Amino acid sequence: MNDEALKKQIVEVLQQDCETLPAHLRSRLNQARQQALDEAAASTRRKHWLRFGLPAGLATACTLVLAMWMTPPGPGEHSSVPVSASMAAEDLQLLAEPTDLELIEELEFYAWLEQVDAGTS
Amino acid sequence: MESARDDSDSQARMRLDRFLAGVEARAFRMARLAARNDEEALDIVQDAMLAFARRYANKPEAEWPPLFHTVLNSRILDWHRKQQVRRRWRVFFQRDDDEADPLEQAPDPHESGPAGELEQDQCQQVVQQALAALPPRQRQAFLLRNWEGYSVAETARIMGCGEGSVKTHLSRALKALREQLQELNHE
Repeated sequence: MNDEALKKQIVEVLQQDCETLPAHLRSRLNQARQQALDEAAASTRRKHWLRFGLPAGLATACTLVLAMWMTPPGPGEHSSVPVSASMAAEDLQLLAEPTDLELIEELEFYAWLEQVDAGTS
Repeated sequence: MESARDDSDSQARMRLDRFLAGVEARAFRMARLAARNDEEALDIVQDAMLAFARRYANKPEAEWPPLFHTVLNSRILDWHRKQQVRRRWRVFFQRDDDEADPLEQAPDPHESGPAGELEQDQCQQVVQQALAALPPRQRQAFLLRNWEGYSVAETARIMGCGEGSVKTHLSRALKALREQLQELNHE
């Protein structure tokens, strides 16, 4: 038997073997396929959300923050947080400073001190 | 717009279903030749289908067959690697008074017994034994090239090796199959 005939014979046997796959195995393969199809759908939804939903959400959030930041207070209104460039810089400086652990540990004492000061003045 | 997307999703699902239904039996046989056990083979095919669906379902349909076989081939070779590690540990822990594990000795309920084997087509048995006896890479090269009909270049891409290696695997596989089939036919 030459090589081609040998290959052909082997392939025929394999093909025949697939066609006579027992029913219980076919059913298990079908279940596996359905799981894969569900996974594909879930993966598509995840990718769709990452591609469109996430950027859209971020853009909306950025726009809202910018709008709140830029809108000047109307007449008769006053901003609850007066913001100026110099104050923002001061805040940043405060945030950047290392935390005073002593202050945090004795916070109650400092609160009391403040009350006493307010009472005397 | 939502209903248009639903339609397109359901069409994509149908296309994927048709593709997987067309390859699953051959994929199972390929895995079964490697694992020699139905349950293990089913696990391999299920893993391959899930990984393929997760990563490549959105790729163009024409690219699906080689991508699916790349995933399947990698799952089969992973299975072989794990088996080797397990075997090494089993040898390491083997006791001197090692008795045969009754579970290992128990016949596989899905495997045909001696009576069944006699009834089965002898040729089918002989070919399966010969293929199962091949080294994993030789068997994969042979099946991908001759059964799935991939070119040498495609087989090389699927197996993640060079075309030269595929040709070597193919020629060795064919030589071994010829010898084994002759031997088995004489028995």
